[in-house]
Amino acid sequence: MKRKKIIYRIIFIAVLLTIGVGLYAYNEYNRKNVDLADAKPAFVMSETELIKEFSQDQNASNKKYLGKIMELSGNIKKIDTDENGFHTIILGSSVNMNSVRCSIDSSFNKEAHDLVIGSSITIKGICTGFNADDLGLGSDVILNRSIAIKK
Amino acid sequence: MKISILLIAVLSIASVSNAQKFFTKTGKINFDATAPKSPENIDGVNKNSICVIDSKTGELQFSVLMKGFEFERALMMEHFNENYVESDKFNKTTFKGNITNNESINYSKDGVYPAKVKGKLDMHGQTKDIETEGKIIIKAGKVQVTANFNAQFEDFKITIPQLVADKVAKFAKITVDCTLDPLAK
Repeated sequence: MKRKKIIYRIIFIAVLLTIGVGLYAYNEYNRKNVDLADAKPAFVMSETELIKEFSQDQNASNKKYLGKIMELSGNIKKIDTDENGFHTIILGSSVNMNSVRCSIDSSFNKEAHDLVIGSSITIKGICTGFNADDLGLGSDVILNRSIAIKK
Repeated sequence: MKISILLIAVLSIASVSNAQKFFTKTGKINFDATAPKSPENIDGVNKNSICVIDSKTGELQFSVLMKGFEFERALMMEHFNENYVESDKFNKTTFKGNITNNESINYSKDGVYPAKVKGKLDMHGQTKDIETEGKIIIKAGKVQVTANFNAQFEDFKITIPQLVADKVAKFAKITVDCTLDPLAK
């Protein structure tokens, strides 16, 4: 009798474990990208500072910032819209041509339409890299999945 | 007075010359590496590609940040970046080449022009010659470049683990769709 109880208990635990692992795997598989609205940024700085760091040492900046959630403050220099209606907010100053290009997350795209050029803004996005000046148009730091936050 | 009018006329003709660069920083590049019979799609899109065309020489260049590829699933994005393309080491992929039949393209006249493209693709630390055909579509002063080609993972030393071989193909079909604006002088 005792043996049967032990065996049942083991089976019960094994089944629980299997379900647990299965659920974990399922969730992990289907995990969507983190919603940046609630996520804590790894770095908070002005767009000018970020551009400066990348311009001075691209390799070190890549190691430090690539893939990280950035919270950047700056002025909206321009808003680009591609053929599919996706917006990119370009942060920068009129002083130089360097900028931070923030590719807007689809969840925020409609609101991005109402943003005013010249206004100051705080943006949260994931740093995907740096494009040094090739065309004489200035260097860009690129942020993906960006959203504007109220500060 | 007459001389200045003549000067203005000459200068305006000169500025409408053929020497013109077109560019975009929001070019779209898709890749699809779904294996046949795979239960799920293996694909991603980069909407921030840089593309430049020199309409005079036919030079064509692309620059893509690998970390900028977007995926449906976070796990796929992590595998792509950490295991396959190793974007921490090789974040920038570039294509430098030429439209070999550039003389047959009239950049000032609206139309759809077939384009033959040849150049070097530098990805994951490896450089390979790529030759493909695409289209240059001129409309309302903009230049749209569309093309697709296959990139064999082996050529770029991108290793796909056996574990996912049923889902991930041995090559990626790359689809390019970029609309370029004239580079203001």
